[in-house]
Amino acid sequence: MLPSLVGSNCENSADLAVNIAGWGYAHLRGAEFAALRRSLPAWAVEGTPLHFFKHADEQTMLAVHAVDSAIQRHGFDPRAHEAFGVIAAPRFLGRTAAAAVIRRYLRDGAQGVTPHIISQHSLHSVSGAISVLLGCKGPNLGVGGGPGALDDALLTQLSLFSSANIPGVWLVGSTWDPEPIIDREGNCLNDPECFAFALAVQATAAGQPSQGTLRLHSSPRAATESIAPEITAADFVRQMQVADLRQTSLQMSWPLSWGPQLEIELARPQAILANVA
Amino acid sequence: MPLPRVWITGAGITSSLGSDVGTFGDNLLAGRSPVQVVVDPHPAGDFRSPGCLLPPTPVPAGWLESDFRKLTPAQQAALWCCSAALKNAGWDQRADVRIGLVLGVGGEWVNHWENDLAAGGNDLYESRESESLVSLTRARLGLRGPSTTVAAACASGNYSLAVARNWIQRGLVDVCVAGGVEVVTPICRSTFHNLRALSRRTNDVQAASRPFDRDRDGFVMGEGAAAFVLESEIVARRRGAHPLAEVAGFGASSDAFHMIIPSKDPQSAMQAMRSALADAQVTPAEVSYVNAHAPGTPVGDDAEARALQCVFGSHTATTPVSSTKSITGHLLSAAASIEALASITAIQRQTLPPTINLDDPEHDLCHIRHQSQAADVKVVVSNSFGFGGSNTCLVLRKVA
Repeated sequence: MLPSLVGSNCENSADLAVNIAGWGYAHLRGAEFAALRRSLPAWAVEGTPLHFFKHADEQTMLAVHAVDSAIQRHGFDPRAHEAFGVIAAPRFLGRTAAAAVIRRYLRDGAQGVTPHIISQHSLHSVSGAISVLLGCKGPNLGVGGGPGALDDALLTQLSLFSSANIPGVWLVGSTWDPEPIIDREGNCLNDPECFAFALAVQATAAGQPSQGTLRLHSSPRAATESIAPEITAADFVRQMQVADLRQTSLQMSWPLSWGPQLEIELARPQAILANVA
Repeated sequence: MPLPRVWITGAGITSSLGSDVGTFGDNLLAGRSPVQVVVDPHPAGDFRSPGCLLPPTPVPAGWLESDFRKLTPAQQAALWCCSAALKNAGWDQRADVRIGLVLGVGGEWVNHWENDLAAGGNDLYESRESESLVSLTRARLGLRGPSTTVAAACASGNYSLAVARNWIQRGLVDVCVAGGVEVVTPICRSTFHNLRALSRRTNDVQAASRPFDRDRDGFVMGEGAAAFVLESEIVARRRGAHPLAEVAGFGASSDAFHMIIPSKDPQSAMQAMRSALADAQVTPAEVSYVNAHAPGTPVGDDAEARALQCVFGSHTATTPVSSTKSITGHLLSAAASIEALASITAIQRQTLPPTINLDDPEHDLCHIRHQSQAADVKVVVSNSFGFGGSNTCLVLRKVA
């Protein structure tokens, strides 16, 4: 890292950590989304219209599914999350929808443009949808949006919300892998899969063991500025799946181009289930 | 140990009101709106809407104009603003400093795919791994700290300042550039028109943007960018930097109500404002001026007026409020950043910018109407709300 201009104390303060109270994940192939579009999670706040997902992006729906997975897995009471914030880091959100909108615009002009493209397929859309569905009144924002979205999400969680006066945060990430390849009529030419994870970031209650940790470690190595392989939400979800299958804990760490290292540790599944029981 | 105070020591802008801080301030305080009829030609019928278009962005020092113009308008806007802000702050020649970058950009990829296709590209269909705006800006400016994109729709710019302030206070960076960028495309204009969010006054565009007025019928789209250099008071004092303002407080909340429509219940917006005031350790009585979000939509202005009345209580009648969107138009992802600059302008020039076209105020607020007004400006509140139910409030303070 470059030396700090404000003294050695501040270099140490760059070591940031938060507690993970629970997590979940989901993945679906592109063709499987039709059913998801017609179903709301059981915990959606009262009065949520059944067509809430009618214009939603696939990454939004899967992110909600990942939150649902975490809620089921850890036995959370969603009503207890009313004051939570939401951070969502989709990656290339809305490309298929954009292709359809552009096709309609080229054909019909302004009158052919859906009014939903901005509200449902912009960077804020995933966090906004989760906030509305869960009734979370803490801050909600989108981060990243393109390459490096997972790094952006974890860094934002650690730096912005670690000090905010809110009880917890839902941190979600999503991506396609591979990205859909579409033709000019909107047909998908490959078999893409969508991945999403959800971390409930919250201080551990007294007597409860931690279910995981997210940490930014300011190692003394120099910033490399090298192009390291990107860790995406898909990579993270695949690691979660492996940990589940093997009934092991999960540890991941990777360097950021500007120096520090991100570290995630999640407890092994049996410990979680024992806590729920 | 108390967290260090964070100052803004540099600013850069490109907008329809000017591409330097001085010209922007002159036009803002004069209430000169560059609104015009924007025509998007189409074989199926031209689309007309009132808007404030971005003029060609100036070329930063060190760039050949021919190279700079190969970049997209959003990339040009981001590079110009960030370069100008760093130069304004006196940080343009330092390679050994951890400088971070946070940009508020909401519709980056949808806009990218639209522009790329229009230019003959194929990213829309094959999803080439294009470089993000923030990554390109960081690389071209040679910044060595972290960077990220944040988005809360029209509140994005306030989040970028909050993240930057936090990075400085946490010791992640020494200096941080933060701002918002918005360059509007024909599809973006069509979307907001079809949402019935845009004013339909194409026959009287000068009167189209009229926040808080009974005859308001929607907002006028604007485009541009603004960026700021933030650093701790300690670093700024050590190098003798001139502070433009202190980022004194930030608060945020969500309506958890609807993806587009703001809640009629003012509680969440009030929560954001009260959190920001508490963070800044100021009371409503100490606020010199409120730069309202007020885009000029019937529902949005009503909701914010109610929240202001509840937060300011008996001080509502004496706390000046204006919406500079009446002059600049609504810059969406860059709106909060432009309005932070409007707030800094108020502090620096000790003059409050007006809400123009406010002929018949609907809400009982202490409006600054039609003309700017000299004032003792010490503490400014800047509200920004966005789709997805985001409410944010920024408190800027004059540095004594």
